[in-house]
This record gives sequence, C-alpha cells and structure tokens, in this order.
Amino acid sequence: MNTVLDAQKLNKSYTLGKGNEQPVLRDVDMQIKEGEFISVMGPSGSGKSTLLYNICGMDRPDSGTVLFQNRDIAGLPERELSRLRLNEMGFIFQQIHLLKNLSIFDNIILSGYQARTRSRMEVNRRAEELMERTGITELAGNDITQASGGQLQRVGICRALINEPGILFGDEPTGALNSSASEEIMALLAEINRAGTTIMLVTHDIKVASRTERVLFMMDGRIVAEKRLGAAGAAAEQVTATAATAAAAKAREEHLAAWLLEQGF
Amino acid sequence: MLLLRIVRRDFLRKKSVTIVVFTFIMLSALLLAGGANLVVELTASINALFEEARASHFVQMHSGPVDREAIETWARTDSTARELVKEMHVQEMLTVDGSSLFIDGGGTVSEENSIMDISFVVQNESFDWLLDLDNQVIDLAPGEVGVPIYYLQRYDLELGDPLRVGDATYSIAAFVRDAQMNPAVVHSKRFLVHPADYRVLSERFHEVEYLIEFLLNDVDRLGEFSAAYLAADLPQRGPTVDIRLFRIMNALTDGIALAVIILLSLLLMGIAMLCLRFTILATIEEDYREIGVMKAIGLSRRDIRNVYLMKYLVLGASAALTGYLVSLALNPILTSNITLSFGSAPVPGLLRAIPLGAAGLVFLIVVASSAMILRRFHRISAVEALRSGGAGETPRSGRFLPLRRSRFLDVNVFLGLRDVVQRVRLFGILVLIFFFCAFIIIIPVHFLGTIQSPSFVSYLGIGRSDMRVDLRQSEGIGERFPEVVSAIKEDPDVERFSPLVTSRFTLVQENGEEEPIAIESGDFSIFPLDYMHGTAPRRDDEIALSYLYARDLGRDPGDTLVLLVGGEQREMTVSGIYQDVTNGGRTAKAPLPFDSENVLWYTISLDLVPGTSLEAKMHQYSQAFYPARVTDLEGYIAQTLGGTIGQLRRVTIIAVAVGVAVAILITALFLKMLIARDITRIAIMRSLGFSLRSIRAQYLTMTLSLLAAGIAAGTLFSNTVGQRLVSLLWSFMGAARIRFVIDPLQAYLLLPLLLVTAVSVTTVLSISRIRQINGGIQ
Repeated sequence: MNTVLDAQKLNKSYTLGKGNEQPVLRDVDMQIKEGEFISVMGPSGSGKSTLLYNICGMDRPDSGTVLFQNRDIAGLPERELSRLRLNEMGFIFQQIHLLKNLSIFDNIILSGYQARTRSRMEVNRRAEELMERTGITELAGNDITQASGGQLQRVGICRALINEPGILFGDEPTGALNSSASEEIMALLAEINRAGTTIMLVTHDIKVASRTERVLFMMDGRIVAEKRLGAAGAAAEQVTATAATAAAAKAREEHLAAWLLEQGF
Repeated sequence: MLLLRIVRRDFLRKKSVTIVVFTFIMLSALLLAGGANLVVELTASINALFEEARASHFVQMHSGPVDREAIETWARTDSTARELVKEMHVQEMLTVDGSSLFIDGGGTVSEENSIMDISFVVQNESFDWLLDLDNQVIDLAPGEVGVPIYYLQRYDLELGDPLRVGDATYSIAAFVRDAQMNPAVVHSKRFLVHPADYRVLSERFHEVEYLIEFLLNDVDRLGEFSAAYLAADLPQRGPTVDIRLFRIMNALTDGIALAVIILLSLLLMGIAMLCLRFTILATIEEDYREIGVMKAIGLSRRDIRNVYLMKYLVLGASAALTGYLVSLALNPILTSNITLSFGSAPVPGLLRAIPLGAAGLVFLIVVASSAMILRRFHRISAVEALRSGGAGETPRSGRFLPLRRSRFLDVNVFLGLRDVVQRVRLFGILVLIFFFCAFIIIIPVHFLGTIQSPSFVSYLGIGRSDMRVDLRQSEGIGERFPEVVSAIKEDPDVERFSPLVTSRFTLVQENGEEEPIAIESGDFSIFPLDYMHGTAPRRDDEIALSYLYARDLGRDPGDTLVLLVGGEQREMTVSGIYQDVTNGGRTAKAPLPFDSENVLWYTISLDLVPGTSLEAKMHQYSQAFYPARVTDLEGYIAQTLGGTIGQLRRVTIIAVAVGVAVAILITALFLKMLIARDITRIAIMRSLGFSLRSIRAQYLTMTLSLLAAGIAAGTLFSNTVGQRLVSLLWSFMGAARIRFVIDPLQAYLLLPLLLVTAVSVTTVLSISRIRQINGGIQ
C-alpha cells in the first residue's frame, strides 16, 4: 500500500507571553497508508489536535516535513495549500461548523462549487447521492437550525466528501453527540473507509478509537506508542445489530482500554 | 466611579471604533463652529468697515456735468431731503483706461482686457473714506498710490511695489478697503492718489464721473429718499446704488463658501449619527448576553441604559469640545479673506459664544440620538438574551436565495452579494454613508464646473457670445457708440453681433411712487437668453424681468407694470423672467426706444467667424474702440466671479478630501466590525479550502456593491435635489434655477473611480488581517 501522508520530525511550539515557548509537538514522525483508518489518542494537551492541523496544512510546523502524496506541503504557499484542502482533503469537526446563513444543501455543495472541477449540476447530483447514503435526504432545503446534532454531523461528512477527497480528517467528530448518534456516525465512517477513503481521527473516546485499525498514543508532544487493532470488518458497521457483533465490539474496546492503561492513559 | 471605569474600559476595548466616531463628531463640530464663527465675523467686520469708513447710504453715479449748487440747494429745500440728509458731497472720479495702467508689479502687462472701470480719486473729506488694511483713513503723500485689495489678491502685490499710469510711476503705499467697491462682482474700482498727483493725472486723462453721495439720518427711510431724489431734476446719468446693495455684494464672495461649509458640516453630522447608530447597535448585539445577565441580576433598564449613555455622553462632549478648540485654530484660515476685505473687528463677547453654542448643539444632538437608539434596550428580555446568547439580529434564513440556484456567478461573488441582500438593514447604513460621501464630493465639483463653464453667462443675464464690447456712459459716448457699431458691422471677421443699450426709465408703482429702473433694449433674438418662465419680449409693450426683480415687484409673466416712456405712462406686460446675478440681481429687458440722455451703458455682443483669433481681435478692438472694454466671455466670468471661484475651488478640494477620507474610515471601521462578527464563518471557509483571495473577493463584492449603490444614489440625488439646493442658495443672488454643467468623464468615471479605488484598497488592507485566522477553529 502507498503512503498517503508521511510526516518527519515535526516540531511546533506556541508562544505564551515573552520568552515562554511551550513545545506542543516534539520530533513527531508518522505515516498514513492509503485506505487506512487510524486514530490518535492522548490526554488533553498531549498535542493530538495540533498534530492533525499541522499535517493537513491548516497550520505550519516550526520544522520538519510533511509529504502528502509525495509532495512536501510544509513549504507550499497559502493558495496552493487552500487548493489542496479544497480538492484532496475532507474535514469533520466536533462543532460541526456549518455556515449559518446557508441551507443544509448549500453548505454541502459550497466547496464543490468553489473547486470548479465539476459542473454545478454534477456537484448537485453528488450532494444528493451523499445525502441519500447518509440518510438525510429529507433535510436538503432546511436551515441548519432545523436538524439534530447527529444529522448535522452527517451534513458535515457529506460536505467533507463532496470533492471526493483521498483523505478525511476528523477532530473529535463524535465529541458533541450522544452515544447512539455517535455509534451511527462511526458506522458511517467505517463504511466510507471501506469504500476507499483514508481516514484519520483525533479522539479521546476509547469507543471511537476501538473502531479504527490503528491507534497512535500521544503524550507531551510525542507519539509514545502504537497499537494495531486490525481491520474491524463488519463489526465496525452496526455494532448494535446483533448480540454477536456487540460482544465483538465490546471485546475490542476492552482490549484497547487495557493497552492504554499500560501506556499510562 | 464605577460608571466611568466601565466607560474607560469600553473605550480601550474598542479603540478604533471609538476613534472613528470621535473623529466624525469632532469634524462636524469643527465645521459647524467654524461656519458659525464665519457668520459672526463676516457680519461684525462688514459692520465695522462700514462704520469706520462712514459708508454712504445713497449714491448716484453720474457722467456728465454736475451742478453741485443745485444738489446742495435741493438737499436744503426739499421737504424729504431736508429731513433726511445728514451729510452730502460729490466725489470726482477720473477714469483711466486699462491700457494705460500697469499694476502687475509695475511690469509690462496692462489692464487692457480688464472688465473693471478704473478710476483715480482723492480721499473724501468727511465720509465714504477709503481705508487701509488697519481700517485707518488713508493719507497719501505725492507719488504714492492706494490700490484696491481686488488687485492685491489678483497680483499678490506688496507695499512699495511700483504702479505705472501712462508714463508716471507711483509707489504703492496702501491697499484700499472700499466699502462700496471692494467685491469683484462690483465692476468699478477706486485708486487713491494725492491731490497734487490727481491734478497732473487730470491733464492727461479727461474723462470724469461723479459720485453724488449722501449720508442719511434714518437709513430705514432710504426708499423714500431715493424716490425724492429721482423725482427731482438732478443728475442721474448712471446707476443708483445704496448701502443695502453694498452689504449684499460684500457678503457674497464669502457667503457661498460659508453655505458650502455649513452644508458640509450638516452632512458630516448625518454621517456621525449613522456611525453612532451603527456602533451602538453592534455593541448591543455584542453585549447581548451581558445585558441579559445584568437584567437577570436585577439591574433596572434605566441603570443599564445609563452605563451605555454615559459612554456617548463622554464621547460626544470631548469630541464636540475638541472640534470647537480646533476650530479656534482654523478660524484665521477660514476668515483670511474676510480679514483682508474688511479687517478683523472686535466681536462682542455674547456673539463670541455662538460658535461654542454650535459645537454644543452637535453635542446635544449626539446625546439625544444615542438616548433614542438606546431605547432598544427595552426590547431585550433577560431570558431570551441568556438563552440565545447572541444575535439580536433577525435570524437569516438559509433558504433565501439558494446557492444551488446560481448557475454562473462565481461562488465568492455570489456569497458576497447574497450577504448584502440578506443583511440589508446593517448594510443599508453603509450605503447611506457612501451616498453622503458621493454627495459631498459631487455637489461642489458639479457646482465648480458649472460656474466655470461659459454657459454660466446665462445666469449673468447675458446671451452666449464669443466677445463683449462694453461702453460706459461718458462724454461723447452717444457718438462713439454708432461708430463702434458700424465698424463691427463692416468687419468681415464678425459673424453676427447685437448692440444692446441699457438706459434708465421710471417705474410707477401702484401707490404712485416712482422708482428708477434700468432697462436693456435691443434685439434679444440674436444671442438668446434662457428664460426661467415665459419668453423674451418681442413687442414694445412687453418687458422681461430678472428673477429677483420680478420677486421684489411681485410680478409673474402675464402681469403688467407701468413705465414712464418718453414722459408718458405705458402699461407693459411681463413676457418672461430670466436669471441674473449682476447688478444686485435686479435688471430688466424690453425693446423700447431709448432716450440718449438716459443711457447708462452700451453693450455689443458678437460672434467671430470660425477660425478667427479671439485674442488678436480683442486686442485690436480694445485699441480701436477706446475707451470701450473688450472681454471674452470666460474672462468676463473669471473677472466677475474670480474670488467666488477661488473660494469654491478651495472648498471643493476640501470636500473631495473629506468625502474620500470618510469613505476610507467608514470602510475600515465597518470591515473591522464585520470581520469580528464573521470570524467563525471565515475560519470555516478557510478550513474548507477557501483561499485568502476567495474570501477577499467576498468582502470586496460586499463593499463595492454597497459603494456602487451609494454612488448611484448620490449621483442621482446630486443631479436632482442637489441642483435644486444649489439653486436655492443662488436664488438669493438672482439665479434660482441653476442647471449643472456636468463633465461626464469626471462625474461618471473619475470621481467614482476615486471612491472605488479608496474603498477597494481599504477593503484589501482590512481583509489582510484575516491571514491570522487559520484553521484553528475549535
């Protein structure tokens, strides 16, 4: 499998007042392979979100290289980075961050129209398809105030996928959702991953992390451990579907929890 | 004090907004106080000049022999005159033709093409004194000359400069303030010399004119006196003028600049109010939750309101006071022309307070309007404020103008336009301010263009022609005039010409009182005039009146008035009304047979055959037709309205600068607030992959579409209402229907481009701040 993303020796620190530099990333190396579904865990302040924003080009590391599809993006100019995010990457957030004054449908197609790689008719068609796939077709014309949190996160996922990005980044995508909505979103992400999209999530929820194939554990700005859980397979999709799948999921979760405990989480 | 602490904290938190609002309030206070000061100074200095100079109350100009005895006898014996005349004298004025006079630093350029009637006089004995720049009665030694300040301004002269008349050279020892003839719109100028020099000059120049001057006991009975004088068989071959006319003429030059300044200050005040409204609403919106909390913990509405009101009280007071103080520093510049023309007079203490009062008025308006806007607090419910935690703004529906319906517009342009339409209430204020900016800029520019254009002559009561030849009443002019006419008739370079004769008739009023009326007669169809109402007079019982004259006499087209023509009463029908700012705005035209005894002046308008040199012809004519004055129309306007045009040009430059500065400040302020409000939105789009350029395009679309709306409205408004406003201003001087002469390139391309550039650059610079807003939107 090809490496989609290869980060080497990433360093980043934030300045808190004069002469008070707080390192957040220290010589971080990480790779993501095509089609992988990985998660980064760690306590608050361990640097996991910073890692995410530095490898996706929203923020720039102080030093180190980030190869995205074999291209170093750390030194790309602002416009190129924007293009990359628009066309090749998708993002989902904890606070879904939809534009309040656009309808749900318009929120989804916005990046599609901006990218100008497809005709607007095509973008509309793809949006309808995605909404059907995520089960929110009936919301198309609504304002974003007329939908539940789970539904809005589905809108967020549709928006992230509108330009068919190779990779999807998620920052605590289920953090603001209740457990059943969270289950549904994870199942959806697993399905998207199986269809070929690489996914990287940042989370502190063991339940979420246990659905991914590989878990990186961060502490004090370093990746300190890595756990390969292997393909989740059908179990990842509807864990509550049968007693068997639920039990399998539970086992996987406990397995991860035990490992994390070992790492000092 | 807690309240003051809150106010201070608030100022610090919103520094730039506070500074902008402060600036606008200060500027409007500055201009209003400055304008008020100008009014006070103007009135006081004109009064002072008139008093120091002991200005005449009634003056009859006359060319031809004068029997002083007869006038004095009349003044002693006539019942009205005996009662009213306090003092009288006859001043002799020696007319010097412009081609013999070299003022320009004694240099080589003569006054040949000047439209001024130049006379040399000696100082009067007891009244109508000519004063120096210290308002002292000028006393000259032989060899010295006093030069009217009109020439000081024109040529930038200095005391001691030489002045040449023919082959005699004099040294300029004083600049003359002349209560009667100061302003440029008065086409007569008096030079002062020592009696000995006067005798020498009168050997060389032979033409004299007389000023028969009276000081009255009761100025209010001027009308009565004037009628009595004209009824008597006394010299009256020349215009009759009085102190009321002197006053108007003197106030005119500065009056126009004054009117523009006051207009400007009112507009700025409007902008300050809009800014206030905008910032107060934005603050309320921002502090919505805080206000809810204050309400929830039991503070009364009034308490909360006072917190906010206190802020604007402090802001308004300090800005208005600063404006007033700055105006004190600026006053010398604004009043420089007044000081030069009339001298600076001590202003009574009570009147000194007027500019301060004007600044106070600005303060009161600020506080009152803030209080009014703050009434909105009543509508904030504590529960609602706490629950929604923001957006007092009406919720914006996403269903409106869906993006998916847009087929061709660029996404960013579409989003920008959509935002404008959606937040129309918020953006409306900006459109209004841009509208004001456009208005502030366009009105003076249009007006300046109009007053400088050759077609402005139609407001001077004359038809449009290439050239004018003027002959004033003087000895032998009756014979000279036909000679000039026939010479012009035979000149093959002249395409067409029209001789016009202005002579004095008597108007009989309803109550039987008689008053003199100067009427121009001739063929009015050759160089036609624009009429406001009705048409030119065609039959010999028709008359056209100037706007101010018609208003004074209360006549409309179709009405009649009675004239004495050749000793007989004749009923004349008013055929039309035209605009005229010359001669105090009071002139008339009728095709009547003139009586050569009563002729005041002759004019010949002419057009040259295309290709003929105007310059050469002017030179040729002024040599050939001495003592006639030959001017082209532009020169005529420039010399008549030169001072006014100069003042207006200065004001126009200020207005354009103010307009552009306001647009820049407001755009910067507005974007600052807008970006603060849209910060999440911008961050979301940045994270989705919208480049800085795309986001800039959205905001540029917003500001430029608002600007376009503002400019369009401002242009439309200026061309309609603005035109009427300027007409209203000029109606006091005799032109009540000014039509702007618009230079389309300037008005519809350059000025908008200037604003567009200013606003675009400001937008781009303001937007560059969002470089710091990146994906970190947790």
